[in-house]
Amino acid sequence: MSKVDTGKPDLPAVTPRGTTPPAAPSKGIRRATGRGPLARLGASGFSRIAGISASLVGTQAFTSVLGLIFWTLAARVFAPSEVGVAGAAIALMILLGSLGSLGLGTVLIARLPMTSAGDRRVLVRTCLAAAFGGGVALGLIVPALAVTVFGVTALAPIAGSLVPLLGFALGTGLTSATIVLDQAVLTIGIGSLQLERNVTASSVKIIALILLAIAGQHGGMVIYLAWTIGTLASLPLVAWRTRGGRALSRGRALFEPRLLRGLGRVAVSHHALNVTIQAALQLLPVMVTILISATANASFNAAIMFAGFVFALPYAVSIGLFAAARGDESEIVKRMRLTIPFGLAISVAADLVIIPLAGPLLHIFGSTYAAEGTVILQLIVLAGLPFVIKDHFIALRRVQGRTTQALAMTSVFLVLELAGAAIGARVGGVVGLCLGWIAVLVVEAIVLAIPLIGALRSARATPSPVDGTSVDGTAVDGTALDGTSVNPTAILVEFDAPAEVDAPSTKGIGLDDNPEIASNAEVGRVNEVVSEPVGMPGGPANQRSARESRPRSRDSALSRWFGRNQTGPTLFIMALGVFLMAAVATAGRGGETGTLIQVGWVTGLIVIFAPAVVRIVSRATPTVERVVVAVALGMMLQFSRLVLNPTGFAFHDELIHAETLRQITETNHLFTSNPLLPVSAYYPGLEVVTNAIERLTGLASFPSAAITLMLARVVIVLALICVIRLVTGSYRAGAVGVVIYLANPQLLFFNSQYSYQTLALPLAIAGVYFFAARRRGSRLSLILPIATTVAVVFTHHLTGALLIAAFAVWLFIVAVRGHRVAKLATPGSERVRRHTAGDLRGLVLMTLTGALALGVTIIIPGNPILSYLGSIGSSSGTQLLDLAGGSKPKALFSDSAGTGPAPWEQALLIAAVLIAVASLLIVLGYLRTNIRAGKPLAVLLGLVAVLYPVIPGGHLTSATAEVGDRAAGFVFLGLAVVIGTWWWKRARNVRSQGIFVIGCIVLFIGNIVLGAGPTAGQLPGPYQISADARSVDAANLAAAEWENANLPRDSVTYGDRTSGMLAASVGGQQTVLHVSTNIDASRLLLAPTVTADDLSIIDQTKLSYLIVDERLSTGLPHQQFYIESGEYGNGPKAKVVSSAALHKFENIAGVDRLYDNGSLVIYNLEGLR
Amino acid sequence: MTTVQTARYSPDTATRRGLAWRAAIIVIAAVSVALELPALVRAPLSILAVVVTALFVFPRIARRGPLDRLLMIVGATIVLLLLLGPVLNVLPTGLDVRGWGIGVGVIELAVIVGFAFVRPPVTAGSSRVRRIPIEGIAWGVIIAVVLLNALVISVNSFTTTHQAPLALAGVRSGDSVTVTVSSGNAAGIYDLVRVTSTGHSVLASGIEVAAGSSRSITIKVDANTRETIELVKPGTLTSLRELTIDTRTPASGANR
Repeated sequence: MSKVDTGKPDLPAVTPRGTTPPAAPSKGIRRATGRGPLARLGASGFSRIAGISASLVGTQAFTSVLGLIFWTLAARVFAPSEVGVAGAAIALMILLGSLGSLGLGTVLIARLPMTSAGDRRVLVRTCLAAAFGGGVALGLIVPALAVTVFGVTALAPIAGSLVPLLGFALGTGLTSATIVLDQAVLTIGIGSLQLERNVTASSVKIIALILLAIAGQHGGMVIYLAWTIGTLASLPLVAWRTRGGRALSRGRALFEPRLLRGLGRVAVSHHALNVTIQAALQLLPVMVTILISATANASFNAAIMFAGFVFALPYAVSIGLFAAARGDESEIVKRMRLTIPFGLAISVAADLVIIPLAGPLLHIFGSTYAAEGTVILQLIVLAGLPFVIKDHFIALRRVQGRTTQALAMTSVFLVLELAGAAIGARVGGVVGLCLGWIAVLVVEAIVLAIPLIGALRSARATPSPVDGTSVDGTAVDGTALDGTSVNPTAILVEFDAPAEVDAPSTKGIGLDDNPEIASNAEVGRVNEVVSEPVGMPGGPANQRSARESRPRSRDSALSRWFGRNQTGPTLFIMALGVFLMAAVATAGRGGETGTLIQVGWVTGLIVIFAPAVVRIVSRATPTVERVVVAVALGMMLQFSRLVLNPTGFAFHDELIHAETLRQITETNHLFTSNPLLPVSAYYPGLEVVTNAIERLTGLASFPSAAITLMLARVVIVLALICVIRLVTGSYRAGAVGVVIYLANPQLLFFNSQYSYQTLALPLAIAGVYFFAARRRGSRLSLILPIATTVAVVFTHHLTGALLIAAFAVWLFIVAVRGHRVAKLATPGSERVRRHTAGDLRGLVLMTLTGALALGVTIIIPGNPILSYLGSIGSSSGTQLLDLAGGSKPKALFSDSAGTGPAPWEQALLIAAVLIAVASLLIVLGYLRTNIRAGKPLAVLLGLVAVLYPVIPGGHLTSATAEVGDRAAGFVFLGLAVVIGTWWWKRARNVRSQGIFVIGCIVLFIGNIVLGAGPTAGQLPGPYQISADARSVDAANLAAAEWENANLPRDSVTYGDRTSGMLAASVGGQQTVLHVSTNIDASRLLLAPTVTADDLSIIDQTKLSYLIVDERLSTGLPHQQFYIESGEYGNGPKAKVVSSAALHKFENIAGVDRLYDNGSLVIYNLEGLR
Repeated sequence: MTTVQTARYSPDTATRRGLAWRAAIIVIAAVSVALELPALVRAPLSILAVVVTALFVFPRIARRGPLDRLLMIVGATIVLLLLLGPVLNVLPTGLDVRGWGIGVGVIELAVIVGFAFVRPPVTAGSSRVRRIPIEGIAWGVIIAVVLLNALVISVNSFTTTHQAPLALAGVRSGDSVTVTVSSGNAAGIYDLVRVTSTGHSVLASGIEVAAGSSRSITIKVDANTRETIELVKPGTLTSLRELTIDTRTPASGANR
């Protein structure tokens, strides 16, 4: 397969770039003899490397020439913008095609030689089908998402309509399939077939391009079509050349997916590394198209194509090095001393040739390309030098069996390369993009040179053990790709590894009492693993052990320090983070909201979060400290909200519940009317607890509420740790799970607010735990779980309903498990049957009790819960249907006032979403393991985790955004359990711990942006219109306090979103809202003139006072509405309300203007009734 | 530490003594709540009552690790408070102070009496001298000081920046209006000017308003008139704040 537009074309023997190469060709390599320099080179094995490299480059050259012809024709016939689009489309196709191939080519290289002749064709067909499917899926989803969701209009020619999108998907599918096919044909002994197929494809696409041009077709996707036709036309050739083995597979099914079983993990490991290596060069043309223009990409594409010849040289050297070393690390290190300088020299030489000839070379495409692409080509070829270092690093890591580390490094640097390119593009166009990219490459080369230098030094000092893996047909992480292995621990599926149990604590849940752990015991999987896993003899684990057995005095001191209880210092540092946030909030209140303040705010959050994560994740940390720090982390984060708004409620939902609290305090009774959200008064659990604390201590409402929230936070953290411990047997896994949970998008913002879900959720988790951990055989033990369930229902409708649903699903899972266990006759299965029967009865009782409690709340007179949830459901459904029908999704990165997160915040947000999406792979493995192990609670929690896509997906419409966000508190419970379990199942070295810590921090900060919005908006600062806490300023509070002191209690008032809520919760008035009165009074503020409709509304509502915030006319609202959904003007605001509208009651007879504080004015409208 | 339980354990003398003083604390706390004593007295007593109840129960919760027990106690406390609310709601007095004081007191007493019949654990090596965790206490104090400072600077800055702005307000009472000038942080001297269809007149001059204070005057308003009261700086006509008193009936007024 040729990729003429990439800088690092696939080498014919190892498509795509970087996969494990086959045995090095030995033809044509003459071993030098004698004593001269050449003889020394030959004796060092360099001639072998040179031979392999030359073979690879030479084979590639022919197809590259054909590719050059193709692009030259395209450049001459089509417009630069069309060539640019085609370049981006093909680069994207190649990247997605590589991703879609799922690493199956590498699998085939290893598997085919060991597969019977009859199975081979079926296996190849199955792999091809899987790759094709993967490619098509990615080809459909990615560009469609880019265009419709992220608004990348530059890719509209690819995905803006159905036909091009389908064509793109087909081409991507074919690419995936041919990547796999090229590797398969190598293995079955027809090595030349790969070259033949590539030549055929290249030739046919040239012909197709000419014919399409003659037919008068135009457009970037026409060029793409020609490419695809070439690929398609090459397939019959392969079918014809491999017809000989058809008889062997006669009578077999066309595809047999079972043949792919067990290969996933290993394939993914190599595949991921291959993809990250080539991704940058494939993404750069796409980035140029998106960030600059398709026309600019035409020249860029051409430059990349020529630069590819330069990049191929060091790449070929590294592959030759790898192939010649035959898996012997010492061989690679020995030869690196020659190949690195040689590669650098070749790159310099190539640069010296290309740089002066850049203009004339690009003239082949046309004068425009030469004019615009010369500097670009001159810059890009410089990347060949850092590539030498990078390729050697990867070769070294492959043979060391540390592909995972290599993957981590390349992934991080990939992100940095793209970021550097993007920043450069913003600053300086295409040239800036090149400079930015190369700058990162240079840094990357410096960083990656360090392990190379280290390996060279170590090779001088200590010889490394050999793991004996072979290059031919085996992967280089010491694991055979078919799953058999010299290192079985490396290939164990993650969750088949034995669970870790903490230091014995029979005081914990007795094994007899917990079917979850009991079932583990049944299959004999409960073990105690204290530290690093035991390495298998002869495997890479031994190499790691060998490395670890080197001088330990330095490591021991560090380990000792890490192993001591550092609770005090850790909590101290976290407290300093809170202090920093308080200082930053102080500055924000003073009007400073610039970058420094925002950085300070985020730094404060990291200072709270990071030390805790480091200590929790570290294996050396004592368990007690781990648990204490986890609890403290939750509490510190809650405390950080207090320093933000230290004296009163400020957020929308808080004001609603403050109103319910006020009414309970004033009336001493429950279920009164709350005009701000009537349904909330019928679920007053939060306010009841607060009222209790208020009465028992004599504290004011706000401090009592703060104590309630802190208690809720303690409960949720403790409950999480206990639930995870129940499932895994490990407090340490529980602490890690807490870290993941506290990184959920809603924790810092919504689930820290004084809102009913904030208390209901912790109680729900505690209720699950109380049930799961109860003493079996005792009916009394059900009292607490039942009471907790009723308390949850009494506190929040939806959480109660979800808890009941969870019990119902749990009941189903237990019933299914019980059915399976009933068939077993193994020792211990009788005890499991008894447990199951007890659990079934208990779950039935829990479900029924919860449902009954919920039913009771529904029938309380006046409870509008059904209509409330119905309206949420219908508005969400309507917007989802509109979206499916083609309407534009909600703007992802801006609010209704047009403000949104800064680019760095957007990047963090996307990174956080990607990390969470990637963790779904772990969730799937977890589910599989626990379904097999028959652990109902674990399965239930895994199913909850699978729902993660609801959270980012909900942001496609404004109605579902809130639904998706609210789901985070539930979904992350499942993720916490899964990730906590996964992390603790295996030994993790310091590097992986570091990567995990960084991942958690990115997840934490990115999710805060997702849940709470931009940092600038989180901080206190100057007043903003309809912006939650930023609208609760001195003027609004003063007006509300004046109302409280001077207006008759519960007078009917109307105001905007903030002033109206404050009038109720602080002012003691009755605010008119559509949600409570079914009357839309918004025209009182927003309509331009006073009409009979206004007078009618005043009469209907018996309105006494109108609160007007004159600042509303200075801008758009940040939270979609000035007042509430459906307000005058219909839909989200696109127009600023006029000053005339706000002042229309000024001169009306009978209207008094009673209050003026410079921002807010209060009118008395009683004279109009 | 091991937990040994029997179903028919009777509290021994030590347990009964412990019950007694705990019950006394609970009762005192309940009384302080019922009498609505100041928060400085009520709060510590109520917290103490909860703590002594929890510490009594903690070791007696069977078959649990310490974390599980802590969760049970905190969780159960919240659940009990939560469920007590609807119970109090059906009483005529509702969720008032006395109801809470008595209700919580009764529950706490019931809990300690109930758990008094659970044999306390026998701790191996309980005769061993326990060290005071001085280092832990020191770190705790330092951390508390840091957090407290964070809270204090937040409260101070919030209070400073959320001073009420200069405001002019009027409350009608019959044919008079009480006009109040108030200010959170902007001290100054102002004049009050009345503007009617016939012209301007100074209602009051040289009104000195200190930061955080207010000044009021009462004025009479005529029927069927519209007048504007403006707050101005002495010697200027620029209106800083405005009130409008419109005694016209809507039918006779110049409506928009």
